[in-house]
Amino acid sequence: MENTPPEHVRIRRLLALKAHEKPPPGTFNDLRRAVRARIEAEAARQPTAMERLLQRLTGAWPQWLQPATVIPTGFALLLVAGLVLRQPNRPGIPTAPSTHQAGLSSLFDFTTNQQVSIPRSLGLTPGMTYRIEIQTDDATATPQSIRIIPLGPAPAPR
Amino acid sequence: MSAAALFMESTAESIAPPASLRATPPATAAGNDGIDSGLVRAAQGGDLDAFDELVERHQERIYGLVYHMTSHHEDATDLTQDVFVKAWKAIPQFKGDSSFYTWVYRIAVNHTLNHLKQRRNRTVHVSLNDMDLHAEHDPELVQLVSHRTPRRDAGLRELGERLNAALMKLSEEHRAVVAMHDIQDMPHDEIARILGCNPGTVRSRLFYARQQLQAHLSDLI
Repeated sequence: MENTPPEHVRIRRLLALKAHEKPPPGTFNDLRRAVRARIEAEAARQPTAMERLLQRLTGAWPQWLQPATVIPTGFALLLVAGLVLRQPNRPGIPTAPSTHQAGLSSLFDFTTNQQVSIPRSLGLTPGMTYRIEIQTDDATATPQSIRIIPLGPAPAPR
Repeated sequence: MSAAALFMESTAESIAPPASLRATPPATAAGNDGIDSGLVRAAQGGDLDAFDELVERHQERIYGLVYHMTSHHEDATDLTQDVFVKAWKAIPQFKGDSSFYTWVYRIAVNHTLNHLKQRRNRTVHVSLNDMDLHAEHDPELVQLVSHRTPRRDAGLRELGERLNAALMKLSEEHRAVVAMHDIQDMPHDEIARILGCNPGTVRSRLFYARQQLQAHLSDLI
């Protein structure tokens, strides 16, 4: 703390006042009840066919094969494999995972060309480089979202 | 007299945080961890009453964290519920590598960050309710304002809104670090364990965040 600039000390004193803020009355009683009610409601709900299938599949997997890693990795590998197989000339096709960031279980770049057949609904433009990010929740290890980010024109084929 | 002027009258050197929203004893203490461990084992066996007790023990701090990251009481209530429901679903996989407190905090930070990123463009809704009763005994506040007057209340509201608005200008990651360290008084090591980074990263984020806050609150300090 001895190296903390005095302005930062004053900032911290200001922020410490926020610890006195209080929620609306009854918040915590209601919150506890609401959590319990939601848990009981979910327990009473019949799982869907897909959920039952997933439960059976995950129950059959070995301990080390966690869905948290298998699902996003498997999806990413399938996507990459599909792109490679559909593109014999393959200029600029998927590079290996280049970066690893907190919360991103998979992140890689790939380039399309005229030969690639990609679902139109994805809205990808031929000749562009894209990045795929699969976001997972670190704590519960469930996939949260998949983003496809355009990076710019693809490099010219060698 | 404005909130800024009120605060400038305060000359106390101590920066020990006040004891209100952090009135709950830090759950990292060994005794608390021991109690949590028993409750976690029972909850892993499907005992909802045990989990209810865990909710009771940690809800105020989790709510506080989420509130300080969102500056929005309704969002904080909804997100805190989500956090505990997620924790209940995931508790069979909790191996005890960290304390329950660290684990559930991690869920809260990640869930709140995801929520904030999804709603990045939403209008900031700052709110500050009245300070609680403990605040009246806090030397910082006693020094800040010695008499309860409408002008003082207005000053505190203004101050709270300024602080919330300044916090909302930080990135979500920096705001999380500030909320845990400067508001909830958590040590760097604990924050690092929750965020899955090293303490040096926590310190550098904190430094950067305070630089930003200094710029936004220059008239108050």
